[in-house]
Amino acid sequence: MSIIQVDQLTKTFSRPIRGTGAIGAIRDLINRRYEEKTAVDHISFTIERGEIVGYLGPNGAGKSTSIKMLVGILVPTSGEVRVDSEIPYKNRRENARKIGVVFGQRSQLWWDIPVSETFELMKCMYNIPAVDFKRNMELFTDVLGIQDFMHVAVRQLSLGQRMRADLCAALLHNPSIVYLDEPTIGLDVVVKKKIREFLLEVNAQRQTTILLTTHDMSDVEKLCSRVIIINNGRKMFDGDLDRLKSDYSAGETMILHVDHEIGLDRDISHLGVTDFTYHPESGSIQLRYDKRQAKPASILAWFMERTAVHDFEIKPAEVEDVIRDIYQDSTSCGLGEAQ
Amino acid sequence: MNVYYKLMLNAVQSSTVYRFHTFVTTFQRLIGIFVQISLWTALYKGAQSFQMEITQASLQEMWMYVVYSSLIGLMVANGNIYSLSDKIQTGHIVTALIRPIGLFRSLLFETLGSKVFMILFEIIPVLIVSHFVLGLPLPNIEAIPVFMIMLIMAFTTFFLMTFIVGMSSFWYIRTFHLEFMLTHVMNFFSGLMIPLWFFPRELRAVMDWLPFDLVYYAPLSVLLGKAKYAEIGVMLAKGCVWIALLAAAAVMIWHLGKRKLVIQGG
Repeated sequence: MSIIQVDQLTKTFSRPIRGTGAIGAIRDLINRRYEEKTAVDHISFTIERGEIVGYLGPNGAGKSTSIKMLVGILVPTSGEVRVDSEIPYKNRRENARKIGVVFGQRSQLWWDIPVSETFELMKCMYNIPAVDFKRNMELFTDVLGIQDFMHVAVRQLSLGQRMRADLCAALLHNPSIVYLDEPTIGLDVVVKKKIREFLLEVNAQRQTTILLTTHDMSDVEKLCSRVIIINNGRKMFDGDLDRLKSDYSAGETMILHVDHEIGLDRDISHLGVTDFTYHPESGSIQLRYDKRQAKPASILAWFMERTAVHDFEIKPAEVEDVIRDIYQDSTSCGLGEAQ
Repeated sequence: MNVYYKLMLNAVQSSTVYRFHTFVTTFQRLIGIFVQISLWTALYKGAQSFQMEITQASLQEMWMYVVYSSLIGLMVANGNIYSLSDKIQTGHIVTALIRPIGLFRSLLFETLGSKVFMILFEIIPVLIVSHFVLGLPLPNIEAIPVFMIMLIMAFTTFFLMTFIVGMSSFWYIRTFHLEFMLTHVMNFFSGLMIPLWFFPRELRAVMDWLPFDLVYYAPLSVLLGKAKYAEIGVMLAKGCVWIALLAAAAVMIWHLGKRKLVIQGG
């Protein structure tokens, strides 16, 4: 059975409408009006044990709200969440034993005392057997490189160090599900790489289910086998990363290195090219086309007839572009569910 | 090791970090005591010059009242309101709620942990100064057991009151005004500033029904040997009833608050 089941999950908040200026503020004092804001709007999905799922969406899409309902902190307005067959908010503490959570924006470490003390606290909190604790500490400190700052007070750590320690603390008790809310935010490439390797390692060794939100597309490409995209609280896409690319990334970019500029004023739209630019300093032409409508070979042939082409490359759309397109589509025309 | 015990040890360790803070507060505490002692002395001397006699307590008893009320203040104090409203305001409460432990209990044990340090570095110095500098007698040994019970009751009552006020942040994001109110009500009605035996009869009658005097007046009157057996019995019964009521209110507000929770700052 699926480890996470989400069915028609909805969360609405009512928030005060603030008037502008002093008069508006005074009016608000006397008569406060509220508006309903639907943060999560009838979202359904299931996640199997051992999957790594990217939960993506623009800022304010409802990602964090969904995660907080999955974790059991927020109570859904309607719909149902089941994690390992239990309703998280009704069994917050039992649910908490089985999960690990990292909020990239908030540290869960004990501020004034060394990192090692927080780990010791986790050992008591989750009743981690001494053998497991020792083995995990060895593995984690090794992969994440924590030993260098093990005995430093948390408030003196750098962001990257703190993040690694947070991740370690969240996974010490071998949780079967890990929720990561922007785990690589603000980190440098080296630390990001370490964290990704670590997550893949944990996933491979223990079949840990991982649900992560991120704005970093390389996180998605390196980690996730599947992505769920939401926008304005609604689900826009749910499927393999590969399917996302093949279904939505029809746009490709071709770069041609040429001898001299050719009449770019000439109409080549009949070839299916949507836009093109010439970069005189590198002597290259960059053009974009929809591969469902254009044949790259005939575009290339067209150019080779007119100029000497030294080299060319074809770049498939980046995940980032694909996702941006989906966000924009959904805001402009309310694209239906893509399943 | 039990997780709550470990939380307590961590709190002890955390409180050792800010040593300078401890010295400053102890010093501040002593100044406060001297100010109050001077005030009461002036009052008593003034009354004497008018041939008036204050029958409720002797000047030395008042001095002791001042010292011990400030010590009780140290022992019952907690950071509940600040800590809860800050956690709720910043949304940091999520980090507490994703743990498989109770919020109330973790706050309780953290507070107890900070007390260990406080007894060593704040209470003992004040006792030394009061005994050797002010020449005040140490409290009667026989009063200690009942005093300890009263002190636990005082701590629990105040802990629950602050927990409830702190929890109200679920509804009113800012609670500093409620904290102000609680502080002022406590200062006046609990016997912290002025012992209840100086209060007019009508006011006493009202306060007999309220929980505030449980926090300062009850343990102090036992410590100073002012309370008779019957009065101690009444105070104990009242304490139990109020603790039960406040605990029920705290549980209720916790369950309502959880549904109301909005995580600030995403």
